[in-house]
Amino acid sequence: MFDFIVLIPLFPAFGAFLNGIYGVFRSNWADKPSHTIGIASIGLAFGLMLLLVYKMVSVPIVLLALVPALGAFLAFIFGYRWSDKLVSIIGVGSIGISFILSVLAFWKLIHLEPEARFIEVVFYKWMISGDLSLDIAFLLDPLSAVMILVVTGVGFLIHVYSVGYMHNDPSYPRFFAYLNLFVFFMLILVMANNFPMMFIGWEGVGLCSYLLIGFWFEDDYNAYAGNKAFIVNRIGDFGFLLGMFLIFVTFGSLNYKDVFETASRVLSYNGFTVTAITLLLFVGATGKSSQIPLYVWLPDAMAGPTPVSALIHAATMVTAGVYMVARCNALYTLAPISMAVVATIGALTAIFAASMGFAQRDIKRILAYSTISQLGYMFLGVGVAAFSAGIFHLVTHAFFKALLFLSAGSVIHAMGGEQDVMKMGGLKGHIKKTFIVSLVGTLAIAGAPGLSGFFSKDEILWQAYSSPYGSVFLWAIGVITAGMTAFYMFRWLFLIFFGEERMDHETKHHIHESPNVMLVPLYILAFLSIVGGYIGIPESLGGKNHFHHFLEPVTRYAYKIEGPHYSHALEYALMIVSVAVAFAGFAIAYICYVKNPSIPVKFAESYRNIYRWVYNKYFVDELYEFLFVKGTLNTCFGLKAFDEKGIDGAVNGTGKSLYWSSILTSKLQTGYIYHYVWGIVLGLLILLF
Amino acid sequence: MANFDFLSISPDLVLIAFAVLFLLMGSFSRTPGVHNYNMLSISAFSLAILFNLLLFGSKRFGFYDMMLYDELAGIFRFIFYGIGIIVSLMSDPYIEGKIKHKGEYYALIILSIVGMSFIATSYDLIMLVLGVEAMSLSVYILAGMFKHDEASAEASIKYFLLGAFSTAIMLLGIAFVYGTVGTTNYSLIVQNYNKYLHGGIQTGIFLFGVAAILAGVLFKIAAVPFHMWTPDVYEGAPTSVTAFMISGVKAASFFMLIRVFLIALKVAVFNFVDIMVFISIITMTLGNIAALTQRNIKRMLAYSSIAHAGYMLIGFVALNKTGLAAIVFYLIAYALMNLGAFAVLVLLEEKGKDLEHVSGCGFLYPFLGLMMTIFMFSMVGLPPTGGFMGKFYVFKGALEAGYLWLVIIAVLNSAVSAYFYLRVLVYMFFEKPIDAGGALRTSSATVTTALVLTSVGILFLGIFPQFFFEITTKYMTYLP
Repeated sequence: MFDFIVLIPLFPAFGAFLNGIYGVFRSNWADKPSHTIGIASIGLAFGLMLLLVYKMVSVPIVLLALVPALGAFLAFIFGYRWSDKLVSIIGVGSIGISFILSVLAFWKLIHLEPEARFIEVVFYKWMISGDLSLDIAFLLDPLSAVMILVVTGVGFLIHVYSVGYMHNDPSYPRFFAYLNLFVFFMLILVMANNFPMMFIGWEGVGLCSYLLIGFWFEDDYNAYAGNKAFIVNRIGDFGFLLGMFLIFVTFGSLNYKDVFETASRVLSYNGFTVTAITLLLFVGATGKSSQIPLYVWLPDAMAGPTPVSALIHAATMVTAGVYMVARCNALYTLAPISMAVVATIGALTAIFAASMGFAQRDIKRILAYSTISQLGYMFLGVGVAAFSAGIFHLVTHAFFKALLFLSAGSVIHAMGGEQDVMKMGGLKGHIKKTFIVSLVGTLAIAGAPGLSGFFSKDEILWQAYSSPYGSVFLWAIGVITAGMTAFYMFRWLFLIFFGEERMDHETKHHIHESPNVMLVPLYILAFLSIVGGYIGIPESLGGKNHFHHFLEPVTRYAYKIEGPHYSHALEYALMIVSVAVAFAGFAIAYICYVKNPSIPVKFAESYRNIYRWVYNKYFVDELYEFLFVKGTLNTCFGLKAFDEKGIDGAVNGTGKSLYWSSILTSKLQTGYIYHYVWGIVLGLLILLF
Repeated sequence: MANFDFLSISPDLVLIAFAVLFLLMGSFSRTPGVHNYNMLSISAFSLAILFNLLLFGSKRFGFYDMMLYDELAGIFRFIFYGIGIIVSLMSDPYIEGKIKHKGEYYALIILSIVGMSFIATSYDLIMLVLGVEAMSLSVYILAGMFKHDEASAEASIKYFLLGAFSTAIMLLGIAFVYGTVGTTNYSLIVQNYNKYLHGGIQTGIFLFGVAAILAGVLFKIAAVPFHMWTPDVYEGAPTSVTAFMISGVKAASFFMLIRVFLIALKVAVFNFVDIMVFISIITMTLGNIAALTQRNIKRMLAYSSIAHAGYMLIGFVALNKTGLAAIVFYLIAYALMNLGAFAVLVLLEEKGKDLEHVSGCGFLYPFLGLMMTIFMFSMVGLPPTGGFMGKFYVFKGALEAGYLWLVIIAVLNSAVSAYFYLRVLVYMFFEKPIDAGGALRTSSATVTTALVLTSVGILFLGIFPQFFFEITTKYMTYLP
């Protein structure tokens, strides 16, 4: 009955396929006949795909898939020409259908017994080679159900938003093709039931982020940013791949089920193998989720169109690392060293990135550093074995970060492409609707009580303090970061919407509110940012923490340590501290940027060096450039010289000798029949002896 | 048992009727130029395929046990008739105006294919020779079909003389075999060998006879050192005829090798495995190396056909089910890619026959360029083409039989071959076009059909190889 989840990733894939083809051939399809042939062949391809799916899964679901196909054919028969409008329908519609199916899957899942909520659907046998047997199979359990809801739900809103944001772009179909492809890979990543398939998704989202960051590749900087993202991700992927190999060597299988079930028997607690596996996998996670030391690509990734920033760098791709650690909880809990590493890296990234957010001027870069910082929180959560808290923050963060990015997009839209917050200010009166949703987002991320960010962040902080893996230091870093977050996020808000209007006259004249197609997704996300936290109200506040209980079956194979029990009173106290710190952050931002805007200027002047360090992101990029990029390039040039002289010489020598022997053999061919007869006689003699 | 089972040869009877009709049309028709011989010949082959389809699956002895129709013979009939259809499709625009009476051309193609079909169903060495002669004699004439072209005439006479010589050797071998076992019937040869020959001079004479027959077969296959005729004949013959020889005659000869040596002479085949390993190695190596420096594309493809024969012999050396079934699979892929490549050449020949003459044609005629790319990739053995899967299965068979080093040599050889196959594409796509011959008549519907059929076939074999390989494995019942 769960066969249909196969279709969840297939729809975005098909959307990507359709729009991709249209994007490629659009210019050639000006005349009617080729247009007709093109659409007919696409229809055929779709039919074939349906046939494939029909063979794999049960019948009624396929009928459901036939509906849009029929629609497309009817539209075609009645002379509907393919246009950007159809591109949006296909692009948004395919994600929408995926979302509906995801909701259906979720709905059916929660009506099962908690123990039975582990469903594997085999699509087809992928490869059998020696001991290795792999299926293309999908897994539906509480964790992946939450993830597909977030991916398709937030993804759907962002797609809708893109219709408005990208509406005049010349590469409109290409954009939607990439975006759909991205969602497809992300769904593969979270729905896989084995490591190699997860790796396909893992690589796929890396590829799509490369394509999307460099979407406007005419500008060299964008192409460079795409490259950077891809290369840094590849470094992480290498670690992931090694971890995967080690898992295969140790377990002889790559299926989640086999690995996690037997983990506690095959591996010893705190053993070397499990520590190595988990650390290698975590290297992959640092790349994808932009943690220290591989976080450098994310700020540059803001070169892509804003919906891309929202989709990739808020809701989906960067959360892959957190998801992976949570998915592998059975392994991580066996390796306390790795847990400590994850939590520490998470906490350090959180505070480090937050501090870098202080001095940025680009409206999206500030958000990028805040994303890195929030991801640090999530790793802090999963690193102290609070997997459900980490995922909870992942979900709420997806809501309010998508909201913030899309609001930023709306601001950029209003400002005609301006991204420097120092050239904005006072926009509150001009674009009131955007201001309100931005305010909601900022309050949520700052952890204002009652909004979604408050619940998830406090659960992480509480776990960081109380969990057997946690410590008071991790908690302290978390709390300080909370204060810093409140500070730089309100700085962001105040610089954009309050104070004097610093833009030039021309821009000011053109400021306009975004169209509804962009605003409605913002409203929905704002609503979710407010109420999203109520799925996980902690018990100390009189809630039932549904989210935590829902995810409990996922951690059933985890190694469990009993921790000390703390009273609710302590939890209240810590909560009050963190809220107070966040409020302090808000207050400082208010004083600095609304009350008395001269303070930051004075500060920057009197502490010029510190300001320069922070503004230049502690020169980490330059350090990497010096240490790794230069070194790698020099080695490459050395190897190139060796290749040209040594290896090419040998290769060309072989080729030349073959060439000469060819000329010799051709000489055998004299053209005289009696010579040929001698050849036959010779052959006969060879056969006889 | 005078079992005159005309049903089992009904496809060939249809073909013969059509061939005779073509010849008569030439003599009695007042307007011999207007008949669509190619369409008629395609319908002849289609009818033959239909009859063969009805027969397929049965096993029939006939004509005093001189014939045995079994499934594998049926498969090969399909291959031959299919080749006939594609050759008919690609011939017409090429021979237009160059051959006075086109009916003769098609009649000879048909009769040659009837000969092949007789080879496929033969169950007696005499029948086999009849089939070989019927096939060869028609091809000798076809090679010299362009009477005013010196190269064509030279090819014809060379092929004829050397072919006659090799047939003589083969007949000599058959005489020796008859002399020792007293029969030419396939099953009786095995029976009598086991009954009467137990070492000694008699067995020696028998083996001598087998060696001579093998020499005759290897000549047809164009294995080194019996290959000398191949480059000259393939280069000189009309291009469509070369396509026919390179695919049809080669397929028939390989089936002759399999059928004779795994049914009638299987008692002796293991005596020749070592020498066959040697022949297979020098065949592919010499073919590939000599092809490296050829400028004429047809000559290059002639050497390439020698090399491919070497690869296919690996399957024969392996002498197991996988290897032998792989030969059949390889033959199908090989026939398709050669027919396709020659169909492209048929169109491009107006420009000239050398590599330089096809310069830039890839972009001038994108369809032909795409097609040539598919065929050349298949010849090199790159996935997802049939050429790749053919090599893969042949090598797999050899590995199962334990010939690892032979496979390594073969793989190195196919690496060498990439040079001259891909060079064609380099000229077609990366060189500047030369101004010779003016615009090309590239839009021949029949040739386009042939190209589409062959390229789709190649890709089908490459992407869904199991479909054919399972069939060939299932019916490869001839085992030593």
